[in-house]
Amino acid sequence: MKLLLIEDEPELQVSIRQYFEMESNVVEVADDFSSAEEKIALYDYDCILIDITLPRGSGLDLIKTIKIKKSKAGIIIISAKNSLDDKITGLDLGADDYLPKPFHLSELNSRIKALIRRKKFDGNLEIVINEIRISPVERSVYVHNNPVVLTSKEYDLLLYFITNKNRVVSKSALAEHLWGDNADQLDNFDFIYNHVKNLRKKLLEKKCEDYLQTIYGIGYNFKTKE
Amino acid sequence: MRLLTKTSLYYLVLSIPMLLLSGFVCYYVITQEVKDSNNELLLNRKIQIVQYLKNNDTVALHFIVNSGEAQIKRVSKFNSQLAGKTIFSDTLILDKAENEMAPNRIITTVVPIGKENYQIKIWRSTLEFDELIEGILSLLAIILLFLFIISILINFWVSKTLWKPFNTTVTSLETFSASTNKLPSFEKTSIKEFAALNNSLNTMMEKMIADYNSQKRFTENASHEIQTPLAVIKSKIDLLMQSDNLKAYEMKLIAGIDDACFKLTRLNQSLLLLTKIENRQFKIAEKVSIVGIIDHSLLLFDEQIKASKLTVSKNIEEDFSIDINPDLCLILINNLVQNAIRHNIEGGSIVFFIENHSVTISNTGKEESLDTTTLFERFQKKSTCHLSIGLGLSIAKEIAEVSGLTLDYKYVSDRHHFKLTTR
Repeated sequence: MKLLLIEDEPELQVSIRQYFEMESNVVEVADDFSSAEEKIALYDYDCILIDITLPRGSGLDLIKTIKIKKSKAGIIIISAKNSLDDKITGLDLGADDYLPKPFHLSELNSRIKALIRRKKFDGNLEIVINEIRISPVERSVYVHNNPVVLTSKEYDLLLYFITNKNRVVSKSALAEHLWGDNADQLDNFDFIYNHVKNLRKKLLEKKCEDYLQTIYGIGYNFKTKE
Repeated sequence: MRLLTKTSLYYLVLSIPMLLLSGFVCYYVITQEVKDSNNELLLNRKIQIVQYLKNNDTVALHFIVNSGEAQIKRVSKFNSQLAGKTIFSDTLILDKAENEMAPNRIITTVVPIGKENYQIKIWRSTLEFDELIEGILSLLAIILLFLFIISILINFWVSKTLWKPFNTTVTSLETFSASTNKLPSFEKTSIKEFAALNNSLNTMMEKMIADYNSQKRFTENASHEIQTPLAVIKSKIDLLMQSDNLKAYEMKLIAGIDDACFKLTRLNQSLLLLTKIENRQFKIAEKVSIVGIIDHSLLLFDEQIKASKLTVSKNIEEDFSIDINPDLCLILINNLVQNAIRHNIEGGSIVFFIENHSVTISNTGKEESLDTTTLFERFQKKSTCHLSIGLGLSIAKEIAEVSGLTLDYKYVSDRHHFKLTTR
């Protein structure tokens, strides 16, 4: 997968690049408006991450350029300005998603994967990991072709774990993913613990291998390889 | 008491001694004048009588004595010292017409005419002093009455016209709020004091608005600027977590940083939300059904309610809709519901009472009545739960304020009540 990251904060560039290169993706970085314009004109990407406030220009204008080029790349806006207006303008211009800063890299990863699934396979793609099969359209899960009945939160958890497989996912990232803006209404992370416990139990009941590792104090790792 | 009433009251009270004093002066001046003119008159008459005596005009003398205003006596001996001297004195003489003693001015003199000595007494009734005092007093009373009436009229007129700019200033100050960014327009006035007052008020309010805006801008900018470094920290934690061979101690450190980072993120987002509400950036208002929003909110908190074994009941007398931004309304209700859950006891209860134009959320709780003066202030954290940031109720209050609702708290029969009322 080839990504273009348009972002002027060097440390964030490094982090995102490192995180995605772990999964053998190609990440190119543009740190101002003109170099971004140049890269957009010259190359094709699967997904472009755009920060709205850039030196010498606005990310919103870059979206227009991408759309004029009729590029098939998915566009995700990453902005420190969590403003509804920017979000609406961005999505109207043709961006596919809007992720306000600060975000977890696992969340960014899950958004990119979901976007690419939607773009490339119209969402019809089934996700298969060994004996687990997920159909995102039906929001259904099968283990050894037997359906597993999951609650909405358990389903979201499983999908999140699988898109971030072989990565450590923190409890706070899970909390933000599952509860979104309402995450601050949690009194503690116990609810996540309960959901994970139930999910694991349901998977094990269907003779699924125990992929979920608890990482002490931090979170979980859905490990499919040694 | 109004300033005008008070000043005119002072005037009236002060005018009483002034009037009394002038009454005394009047009395003195009048009696003096009367005395002088009487003396003069009596002297003239004496000269006339002496003339008559010299001319021996008995008819005229007879006429004068008969009028009862003079007495002429022939005296044989007299103290030579008295000769030619005129003695003035006051006396009371019976007034036959009124049958009472009346004050009279009298002169007594002895004049030698030829060989004879004549003692002449001439008197004349003067003013009756009690009547004079009575007259003066009633005059004073009439003046006082006039003063009173005039001061009422002046009062009325002054408050209608002169004080009008002041009154409009006061009324427009009552509606002033720095958050609306609007300076009230004061009436132009030619009165120096009021103009000065309006001027300094204008300067003060301009300063207030500027301060408010700069503070708001500061919070907004600070919150925005914090987002990027926070994103960097978050991404670094995510990367750090991926390292192999982390020891338990290191993982504990990472978990601590991650927790703090999570909290900081929520805190910053809440502050941004607050500034957005203050900036009135949530414009779209729709008709929102209160019962619908409460149901929505309860669904979100389903897990927490079950975990604390709370019973939730809704008492719907009359559902109503309010014109409000739906997102803000949900945040408002969510914060109140969250508050009711967070401060509840295990196995406690939450009761919604929805009647026309108001909704009350009441809950059982560990604490006694809360301090209403600080309850809605920012960062007034009461709960021990470590993810709470202490902004929930101030956000709720702020939303209520911009949406034309009132949010009140009271503690009745061991339950905390939060009541939302449409204005």
